[in-house]
Amino acid sequence: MTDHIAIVGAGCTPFGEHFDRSYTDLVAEACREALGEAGLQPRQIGAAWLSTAFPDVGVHRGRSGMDLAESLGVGGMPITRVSNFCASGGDALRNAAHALLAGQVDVALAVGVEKQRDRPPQESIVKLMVETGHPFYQKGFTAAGSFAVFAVRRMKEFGLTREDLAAVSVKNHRHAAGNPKAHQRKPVTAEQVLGSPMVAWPLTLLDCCPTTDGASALVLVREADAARYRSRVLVAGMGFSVSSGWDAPFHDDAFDFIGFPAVRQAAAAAYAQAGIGDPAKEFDLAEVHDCFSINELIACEDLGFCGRGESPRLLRDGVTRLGGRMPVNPSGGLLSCGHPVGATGLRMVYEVMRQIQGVAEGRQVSGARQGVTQNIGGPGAVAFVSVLRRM
Amino acid sequence: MEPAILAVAARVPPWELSAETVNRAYGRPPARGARRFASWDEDPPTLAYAAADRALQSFDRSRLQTLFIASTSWPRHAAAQAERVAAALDLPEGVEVVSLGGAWRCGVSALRLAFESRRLPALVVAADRLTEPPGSDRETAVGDGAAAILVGEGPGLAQLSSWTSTADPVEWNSDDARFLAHQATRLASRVRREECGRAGVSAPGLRPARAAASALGLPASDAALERIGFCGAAHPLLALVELVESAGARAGPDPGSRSASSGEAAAGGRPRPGGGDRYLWVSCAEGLDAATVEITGPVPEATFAPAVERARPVTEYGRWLASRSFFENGAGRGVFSSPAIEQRDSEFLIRLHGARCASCRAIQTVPMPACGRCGSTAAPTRFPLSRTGTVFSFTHEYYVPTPAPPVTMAVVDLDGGGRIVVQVADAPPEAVALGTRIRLVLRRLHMGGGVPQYYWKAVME
Repeated sequence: MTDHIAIVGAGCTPFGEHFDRSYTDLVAEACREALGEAGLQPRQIGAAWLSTAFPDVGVHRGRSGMDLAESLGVGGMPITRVSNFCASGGDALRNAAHALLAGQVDVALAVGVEKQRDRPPQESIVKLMVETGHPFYQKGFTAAGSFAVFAVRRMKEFGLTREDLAAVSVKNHRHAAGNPKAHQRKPVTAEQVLGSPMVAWPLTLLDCCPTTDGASALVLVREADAARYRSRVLVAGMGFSVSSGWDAPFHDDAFDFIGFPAVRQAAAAAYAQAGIGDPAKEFDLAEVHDCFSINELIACEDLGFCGRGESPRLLRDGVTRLGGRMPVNPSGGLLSCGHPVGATGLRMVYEVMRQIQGVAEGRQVSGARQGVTQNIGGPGAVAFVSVLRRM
Repeated sequence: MEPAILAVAARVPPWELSAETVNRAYGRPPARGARRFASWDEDPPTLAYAAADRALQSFDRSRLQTLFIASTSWPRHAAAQAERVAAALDLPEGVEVVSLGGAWRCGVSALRLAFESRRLPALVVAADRLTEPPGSDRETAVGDGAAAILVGEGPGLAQLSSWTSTADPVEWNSDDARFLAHQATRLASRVRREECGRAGVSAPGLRPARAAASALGLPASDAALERIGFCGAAHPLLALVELVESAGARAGPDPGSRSASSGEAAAGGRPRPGGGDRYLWVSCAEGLDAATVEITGPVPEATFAPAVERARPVTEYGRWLASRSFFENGAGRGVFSSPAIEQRDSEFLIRLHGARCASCRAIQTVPMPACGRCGSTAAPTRFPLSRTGTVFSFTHEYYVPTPAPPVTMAVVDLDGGGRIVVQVADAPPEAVALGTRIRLVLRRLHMGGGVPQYYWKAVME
């Protein structure tokens, strides 16, 4: 009896502004690529999980599993919609894996999609916090602001600078130049990042991911069945944690605004399952949730790549750039790929799989055998971490 | 014992619009005069809260029997009720809340009712936010402000006697300055002067006020009143606050507490044998209201004159217009709102009460079914959170709808425990730092559901 699953097919649409493609078009494209790689027909899927985080600030699609059925042109299968803020994609993968390991199905599909650009950016993700949510708590925050307060604390605690933040954006935009599926592939300079319009002090526009459309899909089977498939990458470990409610960090005077407990909890679980002893040394690459530049710095510490407050040095030393000892976000990350919320967690897994397969042309991490993904949601209170390994 | 004034407080916003700024915008020759205006997120309920909170600063609020609120510009929305202001002040649930409006003299009427009430102590608050048409000559003649006067068993700060009150049907709504001066003279000349050293005079406009003072033949109230614009129902009460504070400062033992503006009329108060100084308080509006004010004690700290001195001129005419029309133009109306949520969370949202875990003593700003630290489900103890605190972290938001970007958001650790995230009001971004001391005040937050919604914001102490 195996306790692992494997990915045998992966798909991802180009991320960007798809004014001429709908929610269902994007889902269909990502699923076609994933099923094609696995050599399967839609009817051979046992069950599917559809991740869309915010249907009501998008296009009102993805409210339930029904919106996957018509994209695939199939009926008569169980489909569950997954919603766990920006970590919805990771949670879809986790749920699919559990159904496989429980023996309920033999082939599972995890799909993530968000169609945000059928509206102006101000009306989609920005509107989310300005107009929806609790009528009073935290009103005035945007998503950028709710992480900017971590940057401000880190400026005091560790001497973090705006240049440290800009360096994340510069690195990831440079990586994206080699990723044909990234939303923004033009390199930027530190001066451009620092000089772009201020969004939420100290984060400028280029410290923030763009508003993006896109979909990703993964076909999953149990490890024991993987040998039948041409493509296969092992999910060696998975961890998922919800550390608090949305408002709790902002209403709890013990919360330090330095890191995310949920990430540390999810990483501990994933590392234990995958037998990772020293995360600073054992990964060839990482795809982390850099929705804002500050988040990549926090992620590197929460994932154990370095100590508290040391992530800017890791970046300055070149460890996390392509060609470094452990490239972080070789895809360009959320900063360059964009963040179609429901798709992001699965897009990270897609990227690490292509790297392990050695087909990440233009951004290949040479000899990549093992990588980690980190997908967060809410104010860092929801986290999914996966360890992927060549098999 | 006779009722007396126990405490007074004024809320005069710092923002100043001069007639010169207005005239420059319309290509007209410069003119004299200025008004004060409330920030874009202040309205009569929040002005009333600010003045009332100050007046109650060293008073046991649980003793208050009656709250009078008088205004001619109170928002016509259920969400802005006077009862909400009472709850925000954390007054007892049994407090009788009396709302008056419809006439500029309603502030004076409220005060008179309080003096005749058997439900004392009573707090009288008058607040107005007045707007005349852009470009009109009267644009800077009116102002925004609030005054609060606590009435209870004496001796207190001052006593009022010899009330005079007459109703007058003549309309003030005229651009004829000479006629208005005549109107004020006509009303003021009915006052019996008695033996008073000085007069505090309120009238709808600069010229009428001067005419009334001249008709009284007494040194008139402090020039500070002339620098803020006519604040409607609040104006006569502001004149009274000014009178009590400046006279009280003179009577006080500490010359250092004397307000800067009290100098010119310092010789006005006439000592009486066995009592304090006597002054005349006169309000001309939809009639004449007057009383004799006898000062019986020093005010601990003046609020009116210092607020007038703290003027922050706004020289871009557009900024004034934007701040005035932000909510009226529908900004923020799309915000999700729910009266059901408000009533459920009102103990925190409006009264600012938090909870302390019965098991581990951890403070939950907003109570949850279980403690976030120890998981205890034992009923927590509710208690009033402190309304002062320290900035733990902050950011400046440039993409949030506001007439005055950016919106500074602060994570605030409250004194005595608890944390809250609020917008910072009235401060430029560079003024906010880690460790900045703040005070929570009631402000208008948004127009969810098309009605004004109120929540706490931080102002710098």
